[in-house]
Amino acid sequence: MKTLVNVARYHLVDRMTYAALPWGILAFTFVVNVVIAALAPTPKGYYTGAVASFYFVLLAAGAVSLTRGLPFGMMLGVSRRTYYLGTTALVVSLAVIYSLALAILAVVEGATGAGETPCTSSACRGCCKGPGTSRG
Amino acid sequence: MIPTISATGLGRRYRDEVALDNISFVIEPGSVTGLLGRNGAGKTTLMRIITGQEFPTSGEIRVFGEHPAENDPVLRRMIFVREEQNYPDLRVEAAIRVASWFYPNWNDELATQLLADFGLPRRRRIRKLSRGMRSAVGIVIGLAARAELTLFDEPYAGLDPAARQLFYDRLLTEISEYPRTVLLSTHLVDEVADLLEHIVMLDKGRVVLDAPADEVRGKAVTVSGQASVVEEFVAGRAIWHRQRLGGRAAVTVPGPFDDVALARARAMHLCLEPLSLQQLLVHASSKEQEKVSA
Repeated sequence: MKTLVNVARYHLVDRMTYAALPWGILAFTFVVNVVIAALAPTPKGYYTGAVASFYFVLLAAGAVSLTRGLPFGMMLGVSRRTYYLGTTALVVSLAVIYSLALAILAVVEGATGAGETPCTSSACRGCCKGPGTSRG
Repeated sequence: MIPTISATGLGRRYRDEVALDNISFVIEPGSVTGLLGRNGAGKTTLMRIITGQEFPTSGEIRVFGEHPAENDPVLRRMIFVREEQNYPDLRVEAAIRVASWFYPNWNDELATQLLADFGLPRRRRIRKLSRGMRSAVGIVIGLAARAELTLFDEPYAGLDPAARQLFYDRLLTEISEYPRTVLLSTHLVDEVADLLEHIVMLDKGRVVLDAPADEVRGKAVTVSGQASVVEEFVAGRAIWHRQRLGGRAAVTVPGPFDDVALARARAMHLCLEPLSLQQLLVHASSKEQEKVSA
């Protein structure tokens, strides 16, 4: 159990990869999208899929944890199973925390009036906000 | 007493290549064993099996009396420092900190001292270090961990001779202050010869020598002097190697030599020189090859 926690702590030593990088890149894409939406408004607004950047950064972090993190873990006498369990425990905890944070941001986004379901059907003509609406 | 490591008929086969062939040996607690052999002899494969990173295809390995594969209580008691170890993108001090969490006997002062001795910049990222400095990081962690079983697999890649000497010195002081079982694989045999208590030598995946170092040291002697006198002296002994230069000869023969033989050599004005461990191993592996080809 202690080893499991240590594996999770081991990943968190590199806070850059697990905390700073995903949120930093998400913030950056958001700003870029807002600027684009402001400079080149379209009547239907934008569907940017910016949140995907968050998932991809964490996906890359997961891959690196296997190629770089595991060998050092094994040098320190961590079994593959414990490494897997410790990493999984960390990833699940982060997923819970980060999805809560994203959910809160979604509420904030909704309150600003942006980020509604994009208009794909002609039946809902008129439900869109005016030009310049950015959708996350 | 349960041996630290015991291998019985251990084998590892990759498709059509045999890496380890029916290996059996025992390593007692508290000993310093040299795992010697040429490149590709199977040293790293054997160490990977001992540390549970690889699985044997036949035979059995036991570490602290148990199977090491995926066995946390056993793995927790060992550290495996290997050549060209892959590190995550961390600063030196962060890697040291991480390692300290995993070992109950970790010694922080020792780690700090060793970092200073090897001149390692604590704040630098490991990936930015030179090859030798990266090796030094592994050595610092391996020594400071004070794990019951410490495995070093040619840990000195890129280290200069002075730093290698520092490693040997520190290893020696450390094991006398805090005894543990050490398995050190190397091909710089003469450099570590004084450190080793036991020797296991591999050649082409098989154990060709498994003996206490003291026994191995006195095993062969090079007799040199006037050719005819040398030949007279070594008559009846197995000749390992013969070299002639003009009227002089140098012949390598296996020991032992008793006091009578030594007195006789002195009387005949012959020079007797024990073979160094390294020369001995070169002979041992070439003899093995003859046996194979014969």
